[in-house]
Amino acid sequence: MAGRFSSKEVFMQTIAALGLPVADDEIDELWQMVVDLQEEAERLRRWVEEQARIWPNSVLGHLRI
Amino acid sequence: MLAFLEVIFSSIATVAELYRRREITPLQVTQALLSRIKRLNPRFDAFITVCEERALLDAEAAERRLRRGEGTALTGIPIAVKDSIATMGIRTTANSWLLAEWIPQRDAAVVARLREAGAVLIGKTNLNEFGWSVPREDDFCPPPRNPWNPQYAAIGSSSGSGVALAAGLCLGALGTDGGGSVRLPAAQMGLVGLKPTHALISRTGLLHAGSISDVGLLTRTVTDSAILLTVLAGYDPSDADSEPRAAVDYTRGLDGGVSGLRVGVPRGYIDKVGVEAEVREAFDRALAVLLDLGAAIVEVELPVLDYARGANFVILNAEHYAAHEDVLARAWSRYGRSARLYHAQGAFVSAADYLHARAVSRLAREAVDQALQGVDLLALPTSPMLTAEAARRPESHRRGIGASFTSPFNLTGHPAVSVPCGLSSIGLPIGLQLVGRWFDELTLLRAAFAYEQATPWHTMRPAAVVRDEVG
Repeated sequence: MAGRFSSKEVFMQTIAALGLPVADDEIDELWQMVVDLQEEAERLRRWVEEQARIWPNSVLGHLRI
Repeated sequence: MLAFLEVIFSSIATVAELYRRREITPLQVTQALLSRIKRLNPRFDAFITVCEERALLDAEAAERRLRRGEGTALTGIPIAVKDSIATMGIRTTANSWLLAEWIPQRDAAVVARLREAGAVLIGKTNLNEFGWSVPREDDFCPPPRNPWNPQYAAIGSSSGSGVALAAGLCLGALGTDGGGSVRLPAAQMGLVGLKPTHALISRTGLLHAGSISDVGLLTRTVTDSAILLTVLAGYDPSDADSEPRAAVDYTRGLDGGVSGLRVGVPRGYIDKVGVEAEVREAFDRALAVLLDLGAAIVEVELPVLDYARGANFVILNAEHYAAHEDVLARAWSRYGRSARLYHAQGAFVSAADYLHARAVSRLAREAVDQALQGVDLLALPTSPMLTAEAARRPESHRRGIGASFTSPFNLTGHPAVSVPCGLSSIGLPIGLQLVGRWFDELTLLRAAFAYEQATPWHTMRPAAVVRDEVG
């Protein structure tokens, strides 16, 4: 999986750090949701970077990506 | 009985005319609706709170106002309001145990405008918890059923508003739309659902409006949508995105037709998402009607819409988590199971993810604006699928696939309207979505009206409810 939460272990550590009292029987469902969300975010990141390369003078130029 | 049923299922414009002619009174209509709600709400769960006492007082006040000749287009018209829109003195729960007893001290700006116009607030309508969860039977209020076929759930976070109107329990309804939550229930319940240009209607007093959600209007006709919009649109300095603009009468020029208008169809994106066969057939028939009416149908390329759908989903996730961050940690178990997981996933959206989604937003706005320089409107199916059950399959719902045709225009802020365009073999209506230029609701509603008047779909009623009434 792309993104920062590259393993379930990191995901579990993050839940603990955020203080979210996720129950044991909720972990797998939330993990799958986060995997999907991260994939979507990664897809957007790749596309935005591609657009910045193709259209350097577009609004993305101001974002200095 | 049937004659009065005709009134109950009439448009706002028709009932207002009956009031003006003194053929019927607001109190009669309000009492009849309250009686229907008592009988039908246990079956459909459209309302979380029925405002009986308040509605009767509003109706009496409306009668006095009409007698003085001071009525507006909405005076005495019973309107239902989604229960995530604050109502002073009336509990506003967002269908969450967390807010089960919350009674706001102030009205949302949009409710204040309804009050000023003399509308009757008949009740607060059902939604999935905070508008961000998969509805469950063990929610604070169980999910509404679709009156067109009660075997199926009603879709959209503004599902209760749609059910209330489709079942003949009010004459118009307000919802909120952050990804299609007004247009989708409109499509699946044979109604008109309008999401105006971003912040044309003030969002002050909406629970967790975020940056891309707006007030939306559910009505039986396009004319009613124009009537409501005329009353509710306007500058509000307490909404940071609101802009001062001259007042517009949106009922003006509705009958101008579509002859000469160019309607763009993003066929490539529609095909990429994929639509169920009956949706495609209804959509193609709708385009043929617009063509017959004199519009030109042209294909447009808008691949950005695929990324706009994803960006809308990322932004909504981040903003829902931001709004609930501390409460989630403190009161996890007081959320429903689905709502707490849906809100928690946004904790895993980074600032970079959010800014990339914002960059997509700017690009999508540019691309849709550019497309709308070559055409006057865009046309898409409102939903790729017929049922709420299909949209709520985990692999679809977790990515917002059911909102593929609606959510891009929340991200870009363009106005969009869903009008009925067919009835499927399982008895559920199908919607046609038209999208217009920023602040050009006049052209958008004119085209929607032309289509509506050329087709029979807006005259349909849910058979299950009518059978119940007439035996």
